[in-house]
Amino acid sequence: MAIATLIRESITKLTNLMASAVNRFRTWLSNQRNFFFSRYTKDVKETQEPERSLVELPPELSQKLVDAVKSIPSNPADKKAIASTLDKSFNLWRENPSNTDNSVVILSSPVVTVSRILSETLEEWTGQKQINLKLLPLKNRPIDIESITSKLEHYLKQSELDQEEDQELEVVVIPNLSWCFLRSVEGLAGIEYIQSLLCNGSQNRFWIIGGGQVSWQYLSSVCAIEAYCGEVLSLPAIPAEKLQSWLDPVIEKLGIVFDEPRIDQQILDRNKDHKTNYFDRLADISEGVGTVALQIFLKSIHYEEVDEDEPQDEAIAESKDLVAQTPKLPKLPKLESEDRYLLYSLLLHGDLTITSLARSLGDSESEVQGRVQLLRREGVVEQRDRILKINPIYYPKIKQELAANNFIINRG
Amino acid sequence: MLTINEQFYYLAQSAGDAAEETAEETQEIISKITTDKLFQGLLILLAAYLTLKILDKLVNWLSEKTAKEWRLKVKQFLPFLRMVVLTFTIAILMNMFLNLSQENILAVTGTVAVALGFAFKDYASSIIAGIVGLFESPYGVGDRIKIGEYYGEVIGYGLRSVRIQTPDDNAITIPHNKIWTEAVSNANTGALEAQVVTSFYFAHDVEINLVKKVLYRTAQTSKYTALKLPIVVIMTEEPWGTVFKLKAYPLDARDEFMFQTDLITRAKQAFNKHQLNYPALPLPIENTENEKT
Repeated sequence: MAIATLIRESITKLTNLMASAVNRFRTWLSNQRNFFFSRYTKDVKETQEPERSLVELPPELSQKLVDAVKSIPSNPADKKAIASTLDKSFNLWRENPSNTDNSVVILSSPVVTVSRILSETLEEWTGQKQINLKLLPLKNRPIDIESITSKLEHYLKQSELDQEEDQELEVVVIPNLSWCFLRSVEGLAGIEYIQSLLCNGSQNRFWIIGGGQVSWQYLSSVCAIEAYCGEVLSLPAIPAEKLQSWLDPVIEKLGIVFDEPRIDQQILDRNKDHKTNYFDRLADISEGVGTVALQIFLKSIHYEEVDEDEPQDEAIAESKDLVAQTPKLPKLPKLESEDRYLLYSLLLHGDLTITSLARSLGDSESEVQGRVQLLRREGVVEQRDRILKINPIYYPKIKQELAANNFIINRG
Repeated sequence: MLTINEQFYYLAQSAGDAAEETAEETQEIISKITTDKLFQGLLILLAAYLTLKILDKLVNWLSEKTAKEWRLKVKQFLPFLRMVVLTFTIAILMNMFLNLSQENILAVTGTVAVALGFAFKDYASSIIAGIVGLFESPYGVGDRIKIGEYYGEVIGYGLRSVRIQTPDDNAITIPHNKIWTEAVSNANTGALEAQVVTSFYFAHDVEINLVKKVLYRTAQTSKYTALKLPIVVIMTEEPWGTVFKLKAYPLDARDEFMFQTDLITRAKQAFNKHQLNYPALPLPIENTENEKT
């Protein structure tokens, strides 16, 4: 009996102790509430202020911004990287043309127009080197892909004959290797021809080849093109500071101000200002790809909403501050397996007409057209002058999606 | 010294005692089954059934949502989860109704063994094969297998049987105990890709290098091809012609037949362009079928 009483008393004491501990914890939690929530609200007073209401830009203002962005030249960081690689490879080759690699390959992300960057860089570079430059006059992929070999033969053989006559050194530029092939049974003949010239062509010829990373990876796997070429430069990711200095003219011209960064960035980078935080995040999510960064930048610009009761006109709208909000990537819509095949084909070739796209997929044109329409409506695919391209803003997510689904594409 | 008659007498006596004892124990166990217990048992069965259904749906949903590279790994976890749920349910029910002491286990297993031996021999054999299969893994959900004359994708792995979906979209249920006696051919063994072998037939005088080049290019330029894996063309000679076998992997084993159709369509278009000679008839029928490994 005595033992039973002892146990009962012990249980009662233990219960009381636990109850008081719970009460003390509850009081402590209540007292600490401000501390916990302050990490999310930053300041108690500030939470009482209404949040800034921002709306998307009206079409006119949006166009003005797009024009301003279009007017900026290619990123100087890319040009610098290309020029230094060209210098190194070309000088090595010029010293010993018969025993060193006679080509250099410049690769960009498939949503970057490598031909534009390359031609801008080469304008300055050839001036310095005082060398005969032969640019392959292809501005897009031939509609009839079977004609690509004869076209290449026409341009390159003619040039070779000229060259043999005067025996001068010559630099041949293929602005975009993607235009020389189409993924089809007969569509790789152009690449085979270029490979034969790289291997057995004139020794007085140096090749500069531009291309997309996805097509390069594909051609390396299918035609072992890497084995035929010399140094391969993949354009490096643009760091945050360089993105900032690249976009500064637009920011200053339109008076863009930067919104507060997200709470997690505020916590991590307390000492950085809003603009620096913005560009850190922009460089991070765009993976340092110029065109992707530009699209995200455009998408992040909003302006303060005008009260509907107030009289509005364009002048008022334009006088409002343009605010760059925290940059973010849009969500990728749900993709079917057929969409993935289509998107991979677009990344592989960079740009395609609907006919070429259907051919590269081995499907009928009407079938592909339907899929393209859906993807265009979602904003994933863009069409300009009958040429289809991936919308750069979706590129990072599409790349992840394709890599996770067994496609031959680098995640990084 | 006991006589033989006496020995038989004692043996019969002890056997009779044991039978009496078992009967008493069984009676005792049965007498402990109450309406409450029966109700609880039913609830447990219902909960187990619902859990299995939810698990089925959840794992299948998850596997379709995840990246392709994880799809089969997620799906193949389902049979293990089902086995865990079923084992727990059976253990709880047995403990509830049979009061699992050492003696009770002996009494029950003896009875169950006799019943199974006569009535559910094949059923028990399938269940045991199913459990063995979980560890031996001759096939898993998502694999493309051939058992006997049936070929298809494994779409369900039950305790007793495996369900496969044939290219004709028929679902076929095959008991697990087939693995004791039949050869199981597994095309991808847990991998996302399964090799597809497509045969092409030509006359003896065909231009071999051209055919090989067209076949390689056909596979290399198909949207379905997994380029990370090798593409191979092999040849065999037959009295009536030359057989070219194109071996390649689709990105997703599910596209196997679409892949094969795409290869044949585009290769034939190229062959027609080059006007290549096909073998002269008649052909033995068994050699005209495309093979799969």
